[in-house]
Amino acid sequence: MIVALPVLTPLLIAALMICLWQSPKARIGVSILGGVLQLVLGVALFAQVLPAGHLVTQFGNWPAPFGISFVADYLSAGLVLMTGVLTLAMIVTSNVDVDSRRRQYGFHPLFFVLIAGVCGAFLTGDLFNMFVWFECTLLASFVLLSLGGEKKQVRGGLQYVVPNLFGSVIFLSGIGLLYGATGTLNFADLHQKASLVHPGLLASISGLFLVCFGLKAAVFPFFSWLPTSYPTPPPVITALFAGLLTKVGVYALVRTFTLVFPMEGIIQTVLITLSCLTMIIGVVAAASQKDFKHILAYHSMSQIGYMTAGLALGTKFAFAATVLYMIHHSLVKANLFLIAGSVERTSGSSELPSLGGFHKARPFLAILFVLMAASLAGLPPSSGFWSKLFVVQSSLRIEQFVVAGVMLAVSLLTLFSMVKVWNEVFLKEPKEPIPPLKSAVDHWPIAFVAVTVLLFGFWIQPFSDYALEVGQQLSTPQIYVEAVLGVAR
Amino acid sequence: MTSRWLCIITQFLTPLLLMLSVFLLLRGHNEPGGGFAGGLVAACALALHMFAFGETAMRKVLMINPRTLSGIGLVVAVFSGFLPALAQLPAFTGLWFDLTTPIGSTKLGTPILFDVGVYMTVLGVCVSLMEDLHQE
Amino acid sequence: METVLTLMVVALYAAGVYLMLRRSMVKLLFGLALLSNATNLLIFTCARIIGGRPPLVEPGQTVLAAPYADPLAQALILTAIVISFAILAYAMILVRRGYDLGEADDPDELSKAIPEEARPE
Repeated sequence: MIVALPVLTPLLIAALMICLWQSPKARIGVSILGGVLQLVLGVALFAQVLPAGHLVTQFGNWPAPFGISFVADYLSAGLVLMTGVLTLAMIVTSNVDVDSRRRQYGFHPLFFVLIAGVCGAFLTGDLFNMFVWFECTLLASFVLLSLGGEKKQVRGGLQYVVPNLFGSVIFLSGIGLLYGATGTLNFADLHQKASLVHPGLLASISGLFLVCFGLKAAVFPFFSWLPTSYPTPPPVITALFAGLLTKVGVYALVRTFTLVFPMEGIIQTVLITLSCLTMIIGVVAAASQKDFKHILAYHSMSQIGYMTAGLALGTKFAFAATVLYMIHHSLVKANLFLIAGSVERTSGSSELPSLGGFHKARPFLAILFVLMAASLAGLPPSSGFWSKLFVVQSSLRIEQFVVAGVMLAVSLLTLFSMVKVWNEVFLKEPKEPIPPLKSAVDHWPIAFVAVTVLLFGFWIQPFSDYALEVGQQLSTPQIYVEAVLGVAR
Repeated sequence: MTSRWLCIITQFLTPLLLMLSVFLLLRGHNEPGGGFAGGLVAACALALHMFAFGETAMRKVLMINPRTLSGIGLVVAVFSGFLPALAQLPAFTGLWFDLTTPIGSTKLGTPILFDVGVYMTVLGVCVSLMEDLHQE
Repeated sequence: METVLTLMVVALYAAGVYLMLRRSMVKLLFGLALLSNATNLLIFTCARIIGGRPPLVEPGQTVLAAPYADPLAQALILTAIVISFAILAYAMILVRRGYDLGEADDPDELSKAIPEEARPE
């Protein structure tokens, strides 16, 4: 039952929010309660999965390949816990960041539907159900993105809707073809039946999944929607998207390419190439930007390359690196967007030329930014350093020197961008004096996420142990299959 | 521009349609019908009422803000999924028990509760959509 | 029957992609609608076509007699129709909202920078 709770609880909270449509004060209270609950459930699920390895629940008590299974393995449980941390931080920030008009048009219910969708995608053990959670997430994110209806938001919204809708169509086509070829959609069952399918057919179907999940994760040729749409809504929504939505795409790639499709041959070559190009193009594009949020958006694309590269390398160690990277990047990038949001709320703009002087006016924010930026660029001893160490080492181990070289060069360029932001936003003399901080609530969520990032950086042992366990689980899918199909009866 | 005939017929039709919607809701588990179809029929009844007697009269029939109604419906539907957890069963497992009354016996269960939730949600959403369109 | 349906799927995909590549937001949405219908038909075709055998257990029997139509594919299609309907409806509203705000019906215009005076202060 605990496996289904991280999905059902936010849905229940969202429903409560709709009941409370008329009373904004009560909604804020319930929203914070929901954020706390999400974190508590994440911790509880993680604590229960840790000794068990896999927790499975069959919805409606229908046995495994026939009903919908929810499976929490180390990977899913870790990501749900991470979602809980971000949910709490975002919901607290949203109360200062999102204006009352947007709140009136249903910001809170949508937020929790989005969280439910993300957790559902992380936990489901059924391919079609994953599609449903994807769409649930997408629909909520479409509306969140264009909530408020400003002109730039409508533009951003359209540029986000159309590619994602196209991606969904491809996803569904892939599901249809896979169902035709295997007759099942349960991940565990697919793992068993996929080996019976003609390898050429399986490879072409896996190409469809590569395209659609790559699109959701913003991998190289399918990325153009991300930097144009992410900076348009209020920063807390952007932070939520950057922290969670692209990770859902990466997670789906990891899940399908470890359980269902073999990561080999042409697909592997293509994914490695695309990952390297994603890293390079993202970071080069970021270097030429003049807006705080645009720089971060391009970086979040560039960092996705590291994760998919880890998956494409296909070793146990590389999987561990991917997982470590996903968690590190979610927290750090979401937090950087929150910092950008705090800056934007103060000065009404996020364009570098009109900013400056924040190191004197907001010393605490400046310290937090330095910590996060160092982590994003991978300076030791930060979470980014360990994650990058893992990825680079895993590529060196199987003698992929080009990939390792690209990774190191890209992290240098990341550092360059972060230094640029530091100079422009924090160090430079401001054009206008910076008003004092309105409420201290502004910095709490950022500090909260920063503490988890620091914990990650300075106390790496449990995190790396956990990641290695995930790598072990991902490279032995047989245990997953037994856990799902075995307990069914 | 309401016609007299529309008003007269609607007076009879609204309660009839509402009864039909409840009938559809209750027979829906094993036969055609269910919460979704029932909710739509109820929304049709209220739409008719709105055209004939205006928005305020329709609100009087509904008695509750449609948004709140859809929210309550969602709460009920999700809650019906939680119920089996009390019996240590996976979420959304159908729990049934027999209800014997002097009139006859019937079966009640969590799927019916779920359908009632869907009914309320569909009704609430449809009515609030209609109101918005009406105001436009 | 399979051949006809397959050709139909191909035609719908082709028409959808063609419409998406036109320089008009409205046609783009129509293209997406065609694509999602093509996909539903694809799932239907992939699940094998068995006519006139609904998956209902006969009175007095406990199991289904083979061959019967696959109910899962129909459930998948029903879900997919509802979802794509919802998202397309939302996309239509966005296009309409863009039209009200004076956006052109040309997707190419979207990628250009917003003119200075339109920027919120």
